[in-house]
Amino acid sequence: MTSSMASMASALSRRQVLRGLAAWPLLPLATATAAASAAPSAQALLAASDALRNPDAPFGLTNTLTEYRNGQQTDSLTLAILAKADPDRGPFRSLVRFVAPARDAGKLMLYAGRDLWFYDPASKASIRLSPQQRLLGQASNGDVVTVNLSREHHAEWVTEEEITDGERRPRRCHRLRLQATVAEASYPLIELWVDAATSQPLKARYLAASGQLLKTAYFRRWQRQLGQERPTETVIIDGLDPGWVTVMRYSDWAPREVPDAWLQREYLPQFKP
Amino acid sequence: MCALLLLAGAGLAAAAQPDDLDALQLADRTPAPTAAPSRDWQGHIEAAAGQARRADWMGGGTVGSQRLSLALQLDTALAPGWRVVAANRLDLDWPAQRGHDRHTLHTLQEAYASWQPDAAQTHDLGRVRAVYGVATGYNPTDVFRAGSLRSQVSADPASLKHNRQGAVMLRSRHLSEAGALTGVLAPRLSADPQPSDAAFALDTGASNARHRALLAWSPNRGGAWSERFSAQALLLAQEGQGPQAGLNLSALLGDATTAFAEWTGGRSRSQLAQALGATEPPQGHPRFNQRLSTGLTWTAPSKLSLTLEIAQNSAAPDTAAWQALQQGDPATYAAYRRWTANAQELTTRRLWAVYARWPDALAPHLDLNAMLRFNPDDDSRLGWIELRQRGDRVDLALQWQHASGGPRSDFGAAAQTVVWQLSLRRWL
Repeated sequence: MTSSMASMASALSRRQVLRGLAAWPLLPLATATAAASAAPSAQALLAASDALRNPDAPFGLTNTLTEYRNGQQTDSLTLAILAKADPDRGPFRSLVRFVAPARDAGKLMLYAGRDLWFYDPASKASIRLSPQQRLLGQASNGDVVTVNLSREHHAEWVTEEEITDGERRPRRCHRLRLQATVAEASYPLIELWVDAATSQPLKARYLAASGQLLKTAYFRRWQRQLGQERPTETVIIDGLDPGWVTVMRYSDWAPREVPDAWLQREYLPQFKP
Repeated sequence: MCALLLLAGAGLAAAAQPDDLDALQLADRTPAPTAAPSRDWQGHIEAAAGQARRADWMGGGTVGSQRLSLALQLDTALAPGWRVVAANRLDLDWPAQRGHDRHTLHTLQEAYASWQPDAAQTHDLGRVRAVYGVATGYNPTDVFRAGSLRSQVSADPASLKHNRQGAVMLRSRHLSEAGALTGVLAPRLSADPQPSDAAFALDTGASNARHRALLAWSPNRGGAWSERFSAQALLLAQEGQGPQAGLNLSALLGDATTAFAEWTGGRSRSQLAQALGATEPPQGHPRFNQRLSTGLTWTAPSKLSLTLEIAQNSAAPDTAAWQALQQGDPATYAAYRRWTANAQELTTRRLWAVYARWPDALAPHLDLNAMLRFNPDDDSRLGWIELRQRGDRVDLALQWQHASGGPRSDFGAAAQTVVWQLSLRRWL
């Protein structure tokens, strides 16, 4: 049996989230006040970094997930993803189609906020999933589909510092601390490093409300896609077992027409890419 | 306190940890994704061998079995807006599957043409596997389940859904911002509506045994409320029975728990009357009957999903009637059991079940699936466990099934009390 701290994050109850939030006032007030007065708008930085990760027009891409345990590849999964911003239900609705392996090809997942449905063309059945039911390794459903962190979190500027990015280069960054503002947020606490010059998100540490590290993610292989420099790879490292690594690589970016009708459960049996 | 710990840890976080550098080097070596394969067809071939202990009433002893199966599915676009969907299955069984005399059994699961004039409208004509319901094992709203089981190679409810045959129908679906409206017309296609034993029969006598019409409405409401709750209403009219209403409800109760309920209700004769063809009062007198299947699915951080399902059916015999049937004429008892098996209905009024799905349970790629069904009306049980090792293109599965209870109880009447099966599946 594997132990995934990532899934533990999504299992956190509303009470745990609130308990975690209640701990933040313990921060030294003087430090926080001084930082806030000198800091750029943390929420604006977060929104800018979201915009770089997420195209604002409907789009499609291929996400290839590769899982490693202690240096050995243990699993892989290829997903074709369509995403579209949805002002009513949340920032994005996503339609995820399994491309590989062969046993899973053609299966679909519809992600509309917390409304998560799985459709298997072999059984013709649509099943409601909970956020805990994840796809592969440490990659939670929220990692695979498009999520706007600024919509679910309050950002606080912490400091400016130099970090080593995913390409092992030194980068000057704003460090932001993100607190979940809604119980439905995938993670209660996130530390996010955003490039000081470009607002590119470079690294994130996802934490439980207790402060325990769940996983670390590096956003890297920045390339120009759909009119912007965007990360085309996320490397996820488990917080407890650093030998458990999941690499998500994004390819085949393309603007796509995604009719609203596609993004409801009843359309899943009709979907034909 | 935790905030202070976070601050203390932040300095460490800024610099890449040695473990992070190792992980990044590993990611560097990940090969670039190849072009995603695009294929209109899928399939698998499966070889299985097993052994079963026969029930005492079958003479006892053990019996071996072998099976070779080929399953193929096709979903291809013919022209813009037009597609053809087909699925079939060929089983070679030694001995023949229960209820069949022949070793060869072909099932045309579906074959239909689909016309989609725009994103909001779809019209399907042909044999369609139309599946309804949100429960795992017993689905009262799955109105086309009757006569759909032609080949049964496992007791697993997922296997039964995968292998079922559809009904011949015209299905139209209209999607809008408000929701989805589906209409189905499925005619009776045989003067003798009985399942066929012929190896390559279309078996429309089983799948289209009566005229049926269905309307289904799934509202698509916006807002956070709809993210946690979904509903579907159904109205079924079918030959020889009053209209039946149905409801499918599902809800998200938290990060790890979903709830479901499906219900049907309407005037109908009792199941016993339908099985025996009784039309005279009191047995043949229609009354309002309800069917319900409800429960919860909870998923642990380890990926183990447990589903508890409770089912009720007021059209089935109550405990006293069931005991009378068990102790009565064997032919009457056998006719009723054949009817419930074909209709996929509860044998008695109540059924409790637990289903477990545990991917990567004991080791990576080694899945554990299990089921326990308990009939509280006669204390009989059916247990099923599967260990499945998933390879790149090959699955190896070991299944064990055990039925217990009185000789004519719901599960104790099984012809085989213990069944082992080892199967090897190659994905094509």
